[in-house]
Amino acid sequence: MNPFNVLQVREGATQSEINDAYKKLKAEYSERRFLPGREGADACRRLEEIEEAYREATQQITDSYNISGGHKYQDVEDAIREENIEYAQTLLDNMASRDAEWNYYQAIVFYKKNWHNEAIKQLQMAVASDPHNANYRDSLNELQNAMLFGGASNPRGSFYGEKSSGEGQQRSYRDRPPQQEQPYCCTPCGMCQGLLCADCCCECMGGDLISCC
Amino acid sequence: MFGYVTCDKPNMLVKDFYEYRAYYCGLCKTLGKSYGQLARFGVNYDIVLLSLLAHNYAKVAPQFCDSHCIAHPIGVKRKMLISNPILKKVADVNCIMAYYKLEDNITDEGGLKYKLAKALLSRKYKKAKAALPTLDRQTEYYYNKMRSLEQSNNYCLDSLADCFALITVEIGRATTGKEDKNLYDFCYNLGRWIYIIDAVDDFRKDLKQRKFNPFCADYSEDSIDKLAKDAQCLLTLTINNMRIAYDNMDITISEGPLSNVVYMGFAARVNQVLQRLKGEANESV
Repeated sequence: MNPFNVLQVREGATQSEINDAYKKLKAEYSERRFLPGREGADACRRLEEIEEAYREATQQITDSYNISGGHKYQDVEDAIREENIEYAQTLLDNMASRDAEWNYYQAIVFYKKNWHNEAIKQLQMAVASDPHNANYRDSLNELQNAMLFGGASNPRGSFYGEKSSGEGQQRSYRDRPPQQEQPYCCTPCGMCQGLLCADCCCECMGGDLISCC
Repeated sequence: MFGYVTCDKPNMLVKDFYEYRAYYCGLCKTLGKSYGQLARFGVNYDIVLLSLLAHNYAKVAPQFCDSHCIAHPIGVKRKMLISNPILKKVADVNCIMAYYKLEDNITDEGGLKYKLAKALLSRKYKKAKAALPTLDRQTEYYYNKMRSLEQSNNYCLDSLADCFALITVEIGRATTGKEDKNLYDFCYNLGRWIYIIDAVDDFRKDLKQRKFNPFCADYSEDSIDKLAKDAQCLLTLTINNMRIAYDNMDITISEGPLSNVVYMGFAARVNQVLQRLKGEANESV
């Protein structure tokens, strides 16, 4: 028999809800148990059931905690994998602990939302509170590298899981390195002009730089 | 907030540049026809980029004609787009954006000029609003959200940029009439990029005038170089996300100009803005 049904609470109720329901039911049947005849016997049986259900429900809750104690962030990870970023954020918001792992998952969620600035901050917090975790450190490095050189040049992309593909490869202008505009003075034209200018100035002051003009 | 999107003109084929400008001129003409002369001031290359995307999404190859520009009535005729339903839709979008930009200017700076323009534009705005009610509603919502974040001195750059990015997503949805992941990613990062580069560009001015700027919390006059470095990082990543989304799009119309903007124009603008930021810093020293 489902312990949650016996206790008349919804499936997945919290420990405190279960405690309240248990206390209420116990008080109710404890009164009735002294009634004469069948009613008293029924109440006794019910009480036993309630005790049993209470023990079982509490056990189930502790178990679920223990399972997720190992993979506390399993749900978050699943949500991220399914690209359900909003749900992942809700899960993170509802968590009580804010450990390094929490920062790490929050960073991934931020990254997926394109909130890069916050992602960096969270990763830095994760690294600060758990400096020995190679995963956090690598992720931070990877993100910082992507920011410096652009993610496309990063073939590993494990943190991002996305790579440029598709038909974009052949497009015009695609693989040209960004070019800096040359400063004006270094072009041949600019140099000539500069010389002429200097010559004019010299002549104004009575000297001469280029004697022929 | 607008006007940061650009092509990398020195590294662009001349034919691509003319084609790019033809989209701009065509939009300006369409705006003049459907929303009056005043609305033409709202035309900018940001919306032209979305217009290019919208033509690609609708697979409508535009028709070109040669015509005079209102600002240059004498001289050579320019190549421009003949108005089509997509341009009309882009014009609607542009009108709504121009209205919110005016509102933004009024709250930022006040001034009779903007108020007058807003009053003159308000009838046209109602027309555009009737054409695109969802876009207007969403824009208003995110715009107000951004305002209230700014007024409460929330310096979280990402959540501020998020508001503007989501407006851009709505614009993308309205102009193309479609939704997919590439378009969402592209528009989101475009909006984010515009917000961040605008904030970087205004940093010195805002600092001087004690106005709100998301970077004011973490940077000061003395850390301009650090700001330039960090901003470059943030913008590079955003540009890269746009590139990835763009790579995966099916682009068959006006590929040249569009690719120039995406692959080179954004980076060129970032360089320009950062140079300006650092240059001014050196001047004041």
